[in-house]
Amino acid sequence: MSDVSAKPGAATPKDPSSGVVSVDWFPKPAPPAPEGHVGTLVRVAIGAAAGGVLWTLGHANIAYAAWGITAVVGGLSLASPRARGAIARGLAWFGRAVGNVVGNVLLTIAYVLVITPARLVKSLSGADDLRLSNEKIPSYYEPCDPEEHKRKYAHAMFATEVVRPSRGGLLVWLVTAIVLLGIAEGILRAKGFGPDAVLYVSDARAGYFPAPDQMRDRYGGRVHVNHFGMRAPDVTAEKPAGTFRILMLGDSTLWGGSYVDQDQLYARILEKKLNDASGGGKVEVLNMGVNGWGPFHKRGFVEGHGNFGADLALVCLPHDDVDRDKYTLMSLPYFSAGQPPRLALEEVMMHTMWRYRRDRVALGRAWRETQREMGIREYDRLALFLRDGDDGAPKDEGAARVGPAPLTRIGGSEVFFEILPSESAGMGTPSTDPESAEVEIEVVARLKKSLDAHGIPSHFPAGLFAGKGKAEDLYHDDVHLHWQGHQVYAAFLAERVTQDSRSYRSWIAKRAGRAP
Amino acid sequence: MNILGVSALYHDSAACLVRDGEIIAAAQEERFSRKKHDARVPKYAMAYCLAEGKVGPSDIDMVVFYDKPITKLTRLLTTYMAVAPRGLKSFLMAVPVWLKDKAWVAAQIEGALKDAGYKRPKDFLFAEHHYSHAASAFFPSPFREAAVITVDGVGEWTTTSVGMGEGNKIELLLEQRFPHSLGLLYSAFTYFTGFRVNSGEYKLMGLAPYGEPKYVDVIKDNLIHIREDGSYRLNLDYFGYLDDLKMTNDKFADLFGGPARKGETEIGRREMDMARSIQAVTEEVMLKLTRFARAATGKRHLCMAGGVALNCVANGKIIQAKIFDDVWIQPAAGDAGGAVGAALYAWHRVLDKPREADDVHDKCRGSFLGPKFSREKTKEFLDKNGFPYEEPSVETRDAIIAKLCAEEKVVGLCQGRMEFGPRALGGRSIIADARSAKMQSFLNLATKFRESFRPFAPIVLKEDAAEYFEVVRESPYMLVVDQLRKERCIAQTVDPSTNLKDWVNQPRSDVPAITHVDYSARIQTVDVERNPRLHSILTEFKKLTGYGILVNTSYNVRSEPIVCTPEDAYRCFMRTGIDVLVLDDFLVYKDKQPKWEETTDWREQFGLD
Repeated sequence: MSDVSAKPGAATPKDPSSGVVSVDWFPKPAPPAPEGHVGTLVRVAIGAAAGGVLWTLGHANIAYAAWGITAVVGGLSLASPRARGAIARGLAWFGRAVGNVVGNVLLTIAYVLVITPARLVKSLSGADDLRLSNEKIPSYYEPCDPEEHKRKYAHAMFATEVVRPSRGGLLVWLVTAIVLLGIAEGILRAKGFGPDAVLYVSDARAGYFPAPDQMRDRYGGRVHVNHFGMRAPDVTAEKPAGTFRILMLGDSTLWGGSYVDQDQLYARILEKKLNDASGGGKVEVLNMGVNGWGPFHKRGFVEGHGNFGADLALVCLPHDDVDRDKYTLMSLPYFSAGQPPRLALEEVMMHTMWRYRRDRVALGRAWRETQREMGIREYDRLALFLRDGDDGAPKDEGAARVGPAPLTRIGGSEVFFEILPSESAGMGTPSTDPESAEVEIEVVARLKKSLDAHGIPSHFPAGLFAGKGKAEDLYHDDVHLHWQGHQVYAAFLAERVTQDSRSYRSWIAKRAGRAP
Repeated sequence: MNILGVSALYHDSAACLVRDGEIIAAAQEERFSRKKHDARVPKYAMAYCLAEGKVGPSDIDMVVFYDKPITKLTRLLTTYMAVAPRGLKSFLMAVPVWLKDKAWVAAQIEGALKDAGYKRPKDFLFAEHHYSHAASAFFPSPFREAAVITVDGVGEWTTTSVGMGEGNKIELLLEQRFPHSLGLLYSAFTYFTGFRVNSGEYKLMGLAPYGEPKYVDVIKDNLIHIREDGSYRLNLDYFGYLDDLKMTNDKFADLFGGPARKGETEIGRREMDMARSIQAVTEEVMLKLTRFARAATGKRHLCMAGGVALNCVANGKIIQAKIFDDVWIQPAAGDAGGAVGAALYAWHRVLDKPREADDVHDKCRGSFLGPKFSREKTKEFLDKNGFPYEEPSVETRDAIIAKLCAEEKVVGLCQGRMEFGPRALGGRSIIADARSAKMQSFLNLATKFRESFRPFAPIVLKEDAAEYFEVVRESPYMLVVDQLRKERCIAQTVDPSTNLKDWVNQPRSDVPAITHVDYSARIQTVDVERNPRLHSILTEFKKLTGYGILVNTSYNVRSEPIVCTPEDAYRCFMRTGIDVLVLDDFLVYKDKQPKWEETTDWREQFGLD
């Protein structure tokens, strides 16, 4: 053993790479060829062209800068191989730096938008590609792909194999799917969907209406449908003596949605208010609001069932229900009596499919205009029907009524049209959809004009809800009300009835034993 | 037919030329580029192999890459899909490398071949990682038929496989898949104990005998669940390699009572105990796996490859357990050996060429598959530089070397063809007297500049192996550890709880330089057929001393690749405590050389391993 003769790091002027003369121990690959002028000229051409494009686009100053840099870099490169090398290295460094930054940004986006959601989906599906779960199996070995498969793909950069689903993978997928569906079903049922859906019956005249005698508790709201399909307390067909009866005809805005409790509906509150104000008299409000109803359905209902002896008929509508044709239960996502949805998922799926179909029916402006005109005319007829028992339409001589006689007498009611303003109109705020707001104003004007011609009062309380609370507390959506909105609107209607209704005042006076 | 096998782009890239089923040449790129564990496309190694085989510019029939890059990428993406949104940092590190390099491996290899003056190969194939390992284990083995076990960190998906080979057929039957990996488990402990992953595993193995297996239950209760058939599952809650740049995480640190040891800091009792514990667990898995392989295949012989097959302590346990009649381990069992396996897989399986075996002789030529240098070139080098040398006669040369060893001189050997694989087997070795009490410390600190605890391996005349060791009678590739015979051992008096240096330096046998603290040694038996010159030196040494055994360590310093050329050998010789350099026929004495001075710290060139 000898001392180490050369301590590492000992400073001497002699460099070992020059101190030891090498020999060619073996052939070495040729070093890369030094860059020639061609590369420089290509770069100059690219720089000049880039400047030209910038100049053409009006960025003269940037173009001059590009040309200047190109001239300097090109000149130096052509003049000196050393400078050429340095510039090439600099450009390579710059390219790498930019590439790294851009690459990292793009890869981060890909990781967040692709890899991470993919992981979520895999997690939800119960996939365990890496066998991270603690399986209780007697052996952790897995079978290899047959060697013949390996040979078959010997030319490929990939193998035939893929990560196989774990044992009983199909069963895992199936169980996972069932569990997920079960969870979804549970959540939806908790929200009120499912077999407890409100059911409907078809009706040749009215199209459809809620099946009689239902009691539901959905979305936190109690729904009671009486023997006549009305969301109202049980009543008799004929008005009891001494009672003031109001028949309200409307669509979903009157129905109130299942998210509003029966006692919070404006029809119900109106009834209470009027009863309170009647000094012991009996006021009945028959809420015949049905989801999706338009003028044809309402008139059809009256044609089939009569006025129920109502002293006052309130036809309630949002402006856009004049556009509705007389569709039937077949084209709506509602379930018929006797055939309730078996699952909450079925109900949601039915509704989703209906929305899908509805949004893809191209009706066109002409259809809408014609339908609107027909709707307004139909409301005229409804008003006359309710008031006079005759809608005034020309009758053929031999025309006879089809079907059974109406349940109650038609006509004889005082009639008001109550047009519920949309959220923006009701709140007195600018609409986010000016075109829709204009349509609302136009339709209301046309309807009022048409009704005015027959002496039928109509009300459109624009700005009614202004200052009464926040829009999101009053309105459930653009046309439907929350329970707070129902209270406000009920007060308005009560005022209209008590102040404007001749029949009501007459009934009050009669009860007080004096002339109206 | 010339088939070029290539392994690259992970660690230890290498090339291998197989002509008509015969291994002509194989070499690791690091030996030429002088960058340890060089993972780049092995342009120098490929050029060397083709030149060694005198392959014409248009005569490369097939290039076979040792794994399936796209399947590997799929595994990577699947892993991120299992851990996202965690793992972004790792994703940003890994994917650009794929986009830039790994996905275009064929183009890179063809480009390197073009630079070396070769035309595009007629065919380009991709073997699977563990088939490459399995082929490297079975096809060059002596056995007509054998069970095959491959165990490493990870290939495409496979981390462990059990299969069998018969004639020219090979088939893997069962496997374990990422992330459940015995290799990665061992690497996790390598990382945690302060060594570098993919290169420090053998240090951990060397550290193990200093510790107690006190963490075995902790490991088995928390980190790995082992079945009786040797299959296992890791608990990935404790590891960082799925979603981080580290092998282990905080939970792992909590389990072992504190953070990972920082590299180059003092090695403590915990690290020693952890090393011993993970080694014990590894051995348990390997033994169960081996028993299962025997039962599943019914074969009498076993072949092994993959990085874990370099764990020569576990290998020794497998041999001592006598589960198989005979065991053959690919000398380049790591990824470098995949180049050999890929080429042989293409020859025997894709081309369905027959294979001959006699159950006795392997086809690895003693692993001397690298370059050798002519007398003329070496003389030219010495003369050009004015380096004094002697050229003794062939008859006296080995006796002189033996005498120098007996005088406690450290001798560097650069003779014949360079070894392929991580072990220096006498072609590029440093040898010294195993009887010297101070030799281990001197070689570690003054010659190799490495950690003082690191043990040295013996080379022993094959015919004398029984005199020194308990069980092993043949181990030509230094891949097996055995115990020193009891009668040679000396009881240790130094308390293990005292400092490591005192413990290491106490004598443990009559050959202390190669006796580890647990009286084990990593044996290389030397026979005349494979290694005639080394056999001759040992024989001469035995004549002088009565001991047919010497220290053999790789000819390099810490972090430096093993030397390749006489020039590399001379430079290393002058930088270290080697006294005499043997360049084939030439002897170069340190004390006669001109003064060696350097302007920079050469160790910075290699860094720390």
